[in-house]
Amino acid sequence: MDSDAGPRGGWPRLYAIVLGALVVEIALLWILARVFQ
Amino acid sequence: MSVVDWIVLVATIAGIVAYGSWRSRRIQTAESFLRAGKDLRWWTIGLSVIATQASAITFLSLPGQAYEDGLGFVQFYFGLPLAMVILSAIIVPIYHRLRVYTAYEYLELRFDRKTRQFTALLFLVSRGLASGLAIYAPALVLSAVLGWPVLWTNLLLGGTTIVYTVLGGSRAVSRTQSAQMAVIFLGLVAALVTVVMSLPRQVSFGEGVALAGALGKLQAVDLSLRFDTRYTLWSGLLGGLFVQLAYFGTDQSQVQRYLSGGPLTESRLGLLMNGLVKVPMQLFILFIGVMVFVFYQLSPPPLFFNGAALERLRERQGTEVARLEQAQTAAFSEQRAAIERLLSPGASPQSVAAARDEVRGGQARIVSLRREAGALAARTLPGVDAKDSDFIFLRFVLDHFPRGLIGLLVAVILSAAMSANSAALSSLGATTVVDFYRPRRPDATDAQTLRVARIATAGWGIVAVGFAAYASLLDNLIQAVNVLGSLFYGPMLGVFLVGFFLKSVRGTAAFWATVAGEAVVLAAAAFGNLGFLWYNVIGCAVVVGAATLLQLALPRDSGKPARA
Repeated sequence: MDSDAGPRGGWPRLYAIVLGALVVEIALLWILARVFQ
Repeated sequence: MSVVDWIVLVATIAGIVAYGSWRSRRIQTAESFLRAGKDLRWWTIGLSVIATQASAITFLSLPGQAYEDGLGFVQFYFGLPLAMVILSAIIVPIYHRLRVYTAYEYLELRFDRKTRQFTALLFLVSRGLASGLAIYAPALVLSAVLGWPVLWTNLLLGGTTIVYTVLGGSRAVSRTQSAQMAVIFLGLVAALVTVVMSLPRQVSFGEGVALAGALGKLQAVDLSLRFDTRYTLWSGLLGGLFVQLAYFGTDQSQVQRYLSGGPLTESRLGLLMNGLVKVPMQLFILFIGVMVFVFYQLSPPPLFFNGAALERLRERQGTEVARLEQAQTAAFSEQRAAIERLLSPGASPQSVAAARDEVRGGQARIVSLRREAGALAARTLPGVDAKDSDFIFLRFVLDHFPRGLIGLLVAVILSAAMSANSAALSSLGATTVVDFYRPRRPDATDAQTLRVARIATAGWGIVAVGFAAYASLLDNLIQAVNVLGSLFYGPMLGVFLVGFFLKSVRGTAAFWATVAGEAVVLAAAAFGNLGFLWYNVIGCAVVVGAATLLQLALPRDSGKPARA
């Protein structure tokens, strides 16, 4: 089987970063549309 | 294009092709042709995955989409980070454990050969047709730039991509994609800077953004629960999750990029890199389109963005074109005056609201005149589409970009075309060989397999170029690509999900459920009125539901037991 050393801090931390970035982007876009309308 | 532009363009494209060919010069086995190589690091895999999805259509069509409808299209990509996490955590480890070349091999290990080959066939049809669109879009650019017929540029672009992919295989694809992405990122930043610098001196960047907001172009998130609206937060998150899971998890053009034969960690990290980068990148391209829109609110836009068609129309319908242009000039002057009032400092809220309504009214008049010109062009000129949104960004680049940058932007579009098409052709060739040729000829030598892989890759290239000849009949190209994908992705994803999660379901039930899912999606597309993203959800749900019910109804020993 291939090695799967994983990233520093583990996979769950990396998944949280990816999904957290999405939430922040959606929130910022929503705010942007409210500010400039 | 000027001499400087030609030098930039030819040097960039020739440099990328030479680099890729040099890095993949030792292709002597079928393994090295079909797989990208064990030494790929996560950032190369990530860039390769991004480059495969970002075709020329992305750079031509996306700014035009934003010009027409604003940032809303970005919602289509909201499901992507979720899909990357699911793939990285669950699906990629399964593929790695089974050491498969194509995603469809898994289906034979899990179900049976007919399920594997039916799903592989769905992939070949959808990807083969989509490649045609992906060749046509940049062919359109070259045709506009060089003034050559689209058919010639189709043949030139398709032919170049075929040669380079047939020679270097999957390794050449991955190696060149890193260089192509570097050119693409550079070109995108240069494009946004140029658009912003092109705004009239008295209008600041902030005022430009405010104007875009006042005209509704910054409405990126639609929270409504309407099922007939194409892009909402919910269709993006749920429908987008399904389409991206299906695309990255079951479309061999992507699976081949991350199943490079190297360590599992690198594949998983490469996909997560895509999950982080994709939404901001698409937003960036859409924002360029919004700023082009702002530019044309402050400087007179052409009556019709397909410049070559407009010139021909002027020759055939001179009086009518002059009348429309006159009306457009009048509407633009009124709108421009209203914009000055809208942006003037110290204006009262009432006068701002009145000015905003006037600007919106003027904008609606200009759009309707452009539509009238489009309809006239479509009636008068054979083969010209009434819609010109795919030409908007290109027109802006050719009319307003400085020397050298035009060449760079055309290189961006061609790089994207080459990267997406070479990945597609390579995966079509690989699927044909691994899922159809090898099972029938298990005794074929490595040299024979390599030869068939090269012939299959070239054959699919010819099919794609053939389909590209018909692409001019389609509406907005990027939507056409996504609609086409959505006709097949739901059932494809469904059968994989059944394989991964419903351990009791066996081959016969899985096969007929996939056939049923595909039939339902095609029927929904032909007779229904749903946003196309929902096809993915429906197709997937029908396969999962039908497979479960069929397995309950069928005798327990129908289909072989699972090995994966």
